[in-house]
Amino acid sequence: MRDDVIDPSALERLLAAIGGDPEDLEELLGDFQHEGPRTLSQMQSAARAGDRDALRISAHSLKSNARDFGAVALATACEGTEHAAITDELEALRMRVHLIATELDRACGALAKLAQRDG
Amino acid sequence: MDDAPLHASEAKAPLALILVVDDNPINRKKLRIAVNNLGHDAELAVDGREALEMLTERDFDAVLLDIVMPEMDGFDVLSRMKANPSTRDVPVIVVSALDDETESVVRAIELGAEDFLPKSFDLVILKARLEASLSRKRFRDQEKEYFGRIERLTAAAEKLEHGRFDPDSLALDDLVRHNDPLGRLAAVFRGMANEIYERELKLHRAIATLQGAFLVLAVGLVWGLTPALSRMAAGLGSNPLGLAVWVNGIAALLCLGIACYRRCLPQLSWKELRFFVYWAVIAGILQRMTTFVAAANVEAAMLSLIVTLQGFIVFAVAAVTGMERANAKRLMGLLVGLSGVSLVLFTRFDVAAGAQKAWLIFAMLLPLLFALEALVLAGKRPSHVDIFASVGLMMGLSAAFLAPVAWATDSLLPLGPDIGRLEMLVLLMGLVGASSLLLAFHLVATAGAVFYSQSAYAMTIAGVVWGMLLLGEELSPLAWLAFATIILGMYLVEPKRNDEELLIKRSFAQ
Repeated sequence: MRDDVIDPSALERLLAAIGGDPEDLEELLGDFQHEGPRTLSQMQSAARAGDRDALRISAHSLKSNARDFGAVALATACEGTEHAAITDELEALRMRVHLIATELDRACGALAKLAQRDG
Repeated sequence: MDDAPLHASEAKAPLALILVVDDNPINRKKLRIAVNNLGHDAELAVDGREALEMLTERDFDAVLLDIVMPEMDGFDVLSRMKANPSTRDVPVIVVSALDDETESVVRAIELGAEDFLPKSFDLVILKARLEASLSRKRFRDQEKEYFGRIERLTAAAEKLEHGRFDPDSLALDDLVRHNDPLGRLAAVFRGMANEIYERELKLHRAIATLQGAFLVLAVGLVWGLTPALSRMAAGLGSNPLGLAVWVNGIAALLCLGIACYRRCLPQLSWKELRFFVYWAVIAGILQRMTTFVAAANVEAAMLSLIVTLQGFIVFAVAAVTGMERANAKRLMGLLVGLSGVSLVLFTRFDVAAGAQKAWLIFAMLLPLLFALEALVLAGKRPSHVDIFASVGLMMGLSAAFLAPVAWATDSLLPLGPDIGRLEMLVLLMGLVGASSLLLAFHLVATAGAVFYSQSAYAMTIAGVVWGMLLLGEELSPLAWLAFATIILGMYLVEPKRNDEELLIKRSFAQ
């Protein structure tokens, strides 16, 4: 069954990249469950403070994790924010962060479900 | 070390230590797991600053470097690594999301990155890129090591050009241990330098022994004059104490005058002044007084023989304190010299006529005082003070110490203003006193206390020679044999060895 939020082929690529041990993958997924929200909170603070560079770096960081775990929509939202961080109005950026929060929530939920199913 | 340094990396590559630099903890962990799976060790740095610190603390074989990081980004890390000679050659693979970071990758490679790795990498790609970087690094390391050795050999050749042949200075020991053509070249190079150094060192020591022997004879000859001159002065109505004040005073004026002319008058610290006071007390007062008393009660030849014991005392002190070499050969040399002196004394004089035991024991103070003087001069002499100033100061101080005693005992000699025979004699004795001490001082400084102590032999022989010359006697074959024996002794004793490296003046370059 294909998940709308997560691209399973990305997870397979990640598993191959780390040598094929599902336990390692599980550990990384676990890390994402708390690192993702932590990065989001950094983005929210940066957006509030108007720190565009910090916002850009956090968006870049979350983007690469989202890609690794196949969270396509989250990755796209992060990529957009990363590029817009320097140019867009702060209000628009805050909206983007809000969208990222929603996508992250979905991605974390979907990944947790996947982990539960595979576990 | 490999035998063929320029053809490395064909054998199975050893484990490498990889530094992973990424501010994202999940990316760090992902890379660490991947690197470990390839059989290498990984250490993690959370930002650029920590990465640079770790790079200075440990030798990493490669760096996997993220570009977008807060504060110090990957470009900064790369630039600083390339600017530092110790990290310049560590290969850096930048980790990037190629789709939107192409420009960054190009810039990183322009800054000196070895390669790049997409963030969503394949393990096979990571392996290929890492191994390629590592084998280039290994090759470069071996090349550097090889060129480093060539540089060291060139530096050693440069040292030879400056006359430094001592194998310790050339510092080629570890190069010689390499079992390759360069190692063998270093071995031949060092071997030849060592051979030349040893030969020159032997020659240098032989010359030093010869110079030392001449100085010993000169000291003996000059000192040997003193008793004859003293006797002549006594015949002209002088007394020993008054004579000593004048002789030491004249010698002091002479030496200090020369030091003044050479602009070498020293500024002395209290510690240095104390040395000259001790020296004046030992040489100017105690030795002189002991000589007067002993000479009056012990037969002259016996006294000469006793004085020669100073060499053995100095040798014993040198052996205990380690201030000079004290080996069997040097001791043998002293014994050979003693046998030469004994040969003269026992055949020419009636040593057995001697003296009472108590006076013989008292006379033993003399070699002890001479030995003490030699040791103090060798060990405590302030080496920066000019030789003329040193001798002048000592003589001046001893004259100053003796003068009140001479005045109190009514022994001051009224000399001048007319220059008579006694005045001329006192002047000559001052000259002799100054030159004998200058020679002795120089001898102790250059040849050491043990070698210097042989001047007691020369002094005894010189006494005989002066006697023969003055009395017109012929030198018997026995006396010649005694001379030869003493010279042989000096060859065995050898002057002290200088710790400084011998420089050999030679030029090979065109």
